[in-house]
Amino acid sequence: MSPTGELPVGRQEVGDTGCAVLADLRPGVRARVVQVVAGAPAIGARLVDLGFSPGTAVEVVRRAPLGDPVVYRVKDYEVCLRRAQAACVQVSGVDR
Amino acid sequence: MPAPGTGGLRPGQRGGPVTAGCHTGGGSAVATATVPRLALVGSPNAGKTSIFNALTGLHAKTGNYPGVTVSRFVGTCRVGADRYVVEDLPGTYSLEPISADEQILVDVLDGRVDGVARPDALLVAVDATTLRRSLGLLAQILARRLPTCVLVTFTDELARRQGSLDVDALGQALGFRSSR
Repeated sequence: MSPTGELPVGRQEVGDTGCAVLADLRPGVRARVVQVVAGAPAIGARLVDLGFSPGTAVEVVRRAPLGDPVVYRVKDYEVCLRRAQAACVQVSGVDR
Repeated sequence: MPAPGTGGLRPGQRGGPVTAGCHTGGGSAVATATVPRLALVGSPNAGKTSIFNALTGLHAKTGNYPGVTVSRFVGTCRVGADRYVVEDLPGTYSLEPISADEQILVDVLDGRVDGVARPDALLVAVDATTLRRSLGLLAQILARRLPTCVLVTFTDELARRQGSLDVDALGQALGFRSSR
């Protein structure tokens, strides 16, 4: 959200919020999910159903050699996301 | 693939006892109106098909859902004198479908597939090693308000990883009667 107010619905880009996203984190880093914002609502809903619900602790486990995809530990299991999907997950409380 | 350890949870509502491990089923897999229909649902790799095979003794009929290339597995299970038709549904992480097989699952649960009656009760396979993730799907399934039996699978794998799960407490939290 910009300091001046709301952005038009559908125009909000990841990064506009000034919030870190899962895709920016290095292996070993932990953070907490703030919200999931995806271009397609179905993608966001599925990320939440896979465990990336607001308030959930996430740890970056390891990265593929070229940096994509990345394995995350969430809700006691490991799940692998491509960078595009990991960029939809906004996080806070980043603990390096 | 290791056979999942199953501990059953079921609501004390209606229906006869349903426990995994009856191998006496089989014969014709043709569904009739009088035979209760049970549907197996759960996340991918939660152990649905292992339970299905245990219940139906591999006497299953395979086919397709009308109009889509999603495989359909139906078998029969006998518990004492009672017969049940068991249907092995595609795995999913959510009841908000994003693929053809997930759409079929939701349509079957809601009785929207031609020639496929809505299940009378659900058997939900829940992998103990991914329990926290599975609870969201379970909540969506329970919201369908069909008689439901939750089968906790992979409890052996959880024990191997030095984990433990209080199945009775889980049952209590869900409002289910638990059994092993």
